[in-house]
Amino acid sequence: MFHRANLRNNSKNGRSQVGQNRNSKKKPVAKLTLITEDNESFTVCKKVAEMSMFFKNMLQDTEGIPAPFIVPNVSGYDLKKIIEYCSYHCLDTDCPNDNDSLRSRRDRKIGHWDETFVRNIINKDGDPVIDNLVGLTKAAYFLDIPGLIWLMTKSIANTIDPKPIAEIREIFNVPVPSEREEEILQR
Amino acid sequence: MSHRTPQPTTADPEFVTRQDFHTAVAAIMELCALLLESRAPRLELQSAICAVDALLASGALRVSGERALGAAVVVLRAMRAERAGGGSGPPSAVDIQAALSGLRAWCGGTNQATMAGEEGVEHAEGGDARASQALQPAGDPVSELELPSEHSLSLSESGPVDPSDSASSLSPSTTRRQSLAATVPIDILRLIFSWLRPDWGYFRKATFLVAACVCRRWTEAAMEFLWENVSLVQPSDVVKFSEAFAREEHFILGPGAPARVRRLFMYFSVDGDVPVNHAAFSSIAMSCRNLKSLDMTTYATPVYLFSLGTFFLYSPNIVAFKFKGKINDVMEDFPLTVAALELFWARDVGKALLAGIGRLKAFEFSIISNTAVATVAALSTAVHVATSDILEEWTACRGIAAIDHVARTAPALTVLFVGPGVTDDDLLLLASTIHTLRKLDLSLSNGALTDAGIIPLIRANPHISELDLRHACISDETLTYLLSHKPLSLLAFNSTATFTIPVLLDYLHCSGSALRALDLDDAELLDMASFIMRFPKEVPALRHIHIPEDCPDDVAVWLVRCIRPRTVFCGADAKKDAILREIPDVKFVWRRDFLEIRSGVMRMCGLVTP
Repeated sequence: MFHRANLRNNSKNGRSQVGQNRNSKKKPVAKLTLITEDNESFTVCKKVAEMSMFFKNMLQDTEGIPAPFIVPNVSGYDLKKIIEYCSYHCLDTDCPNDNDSLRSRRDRKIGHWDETFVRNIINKDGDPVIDNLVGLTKAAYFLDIPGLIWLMTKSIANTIDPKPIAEIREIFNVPVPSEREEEILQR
Repeated sequence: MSHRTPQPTTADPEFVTRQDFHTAVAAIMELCALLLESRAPRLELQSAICAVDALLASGALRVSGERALGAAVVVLRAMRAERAGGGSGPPSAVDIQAALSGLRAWCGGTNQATMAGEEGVEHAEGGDARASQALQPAGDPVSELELPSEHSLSLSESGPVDPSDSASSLSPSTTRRQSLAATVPIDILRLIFSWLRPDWGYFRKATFLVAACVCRRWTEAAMEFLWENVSLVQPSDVVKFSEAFAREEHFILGPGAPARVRRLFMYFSVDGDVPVNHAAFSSIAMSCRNLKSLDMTTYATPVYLFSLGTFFLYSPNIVAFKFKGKINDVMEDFPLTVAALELFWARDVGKALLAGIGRLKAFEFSIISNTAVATVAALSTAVHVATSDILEEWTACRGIAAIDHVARTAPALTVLFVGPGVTDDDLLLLASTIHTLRKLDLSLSNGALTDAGIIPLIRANPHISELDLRHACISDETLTYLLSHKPLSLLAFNSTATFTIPVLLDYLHCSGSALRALDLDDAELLDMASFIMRFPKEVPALRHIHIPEDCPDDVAVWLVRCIRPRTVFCGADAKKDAILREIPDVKFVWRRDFLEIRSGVMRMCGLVTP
């Protein structure tokens, strides 16, 4: 069982404390138990879970909090990070959504907290643990969390953007050059 | 298989008739796709391409779509004949099909051989003997090909190709590692690629080309982005591009590929009086229904007015249209006359052209023509009068009616380029009604503009932050006025400016705080010593600089060392070398790129790319 720590303790920024410890009973809020495919279980506030369109629709459909819900396709590590992200961002009012044009999304800067969040997925050598980035992106895509998809895809794009092909292949563990340049260069 | 190149003399460029053409295209493309998909040795395809290239380079064939494909068929047939151990006579569509079915069997291994053989019989009645000959090598493809073992792929080991594992499928090594790239779903890849910035390079393709070449799965997603911006740089490219639609149907993106084209850029600089192929143009216009931006520059090759109209007839989403080029005829055998124009405007295509111009946000239209001046003026006026109040970016051109119309109807104009033939009076007319400009570019004017027109226009537009005064005859008066204007982020001038260096230095000292780019072009800064001595030590935002060619080397080095710019443009290679010797990490860029980088926006066919 994973014990989620207080994810946001700084009340200086005026946000109310949402990501509370599971054992804290001060504010009785609706909670939801999630069990990942590798049998880790998490308890989250309804508000946090509703950051995910997947859970939001599910909660609406079931009209209430169901019994422990099994989340397919998402590993324990990914769900831990997703809950960390959602706990911080569940009170945001200006989450990026699908309606944003590419231009406005591009102009939006990655916030300080988000930067730290992504950096924590990066190991000590400074190399991005691309598996974790991709895994988290897939999980975010499955659970449909627009803000996190936005953040993760941008982070991956930043990882590959200025690099030559060989380096990208190394990062993504692509074995051999596929010589298809002719085909593309025809345009 | 040996990679013998057929001699050009043996190839008859006329052997493919028009009836055979589509079959040949489809067959060759299917063959290529088959070779790529089946892990067959790609050397075969490469040798075919090399052989075609050799034929083309030898000058035996003219470079045109049909002939090139004809050559490809010759080569493929020769290779097939080698493999089948004989066969002669002129190839036909039946032959190609027979060869194809043989190759399919050969590539697909024993489990597909039966099916391919049946198809071969179906498609190639009368070609059975050849097809069966072609089928023979299926038993032992590797030894037949005599290729090094690391380049050949064992078909019996791998069996049919699993498309989901294509990224790792081309490995020559026996161990197959799990590739992370292959596990990223294509929807997520699309999102990732949407963040990649197109590079500053001329064709804006390098970033996505890199992504496309990583692995097969990435190719598909990156190709979608590559298709968004299409550049055609020769008149023959128009035909090639229209043929590419047929080819792409058998490739990655399928028949929907043309609908992905958003920006079409055509720049024909080669000489030639043969008009651009109207049929190919119409084919492009009919296929690229989602075109948003059309940028066309052609100084030598004429274009039919009708061809331009077809784009607006079929693509209702065009918001940027730039045309600088030559129009002699409305359509083939219909020379441009006032009467022909009236007839044209009354018909569907003419109406669609005018209606389309009414929806534009960025517009430029300047024509060169062999016809009467009155006709050209009538055409120019007609299209400019069709503009509406949503116009944001416009290139002013000669003609009082056009300028008067835009001055009255375009309250939201933010970017104004001033073309040749525009006078100070025209600028005064624009200054009376337009007050929202952010960028004023006089670099296309031909030296007719002076302080008398420029200062009132700047005064009327207090938000101008980018000012390109190249080719404008400005004096100290304009620079002195700019001291009281909002600090500029871009200032450019050249040798037509007659101001004195102390005034420029005063400006840099007082209002240089926001200056991001300084373009000295070919300005004659005679007194370089005093320029250097008094050049402000701190121009905090200055990042991009254009150094004049006649600037002494030591001054250029001093400027770069003092400013520490991110990008430098310099026309003279010797000076570049001199600067690089002193300061090795300077980034030099091409002229065209510098013009965009200094503005901080990347323009593609008149539209700022996201």
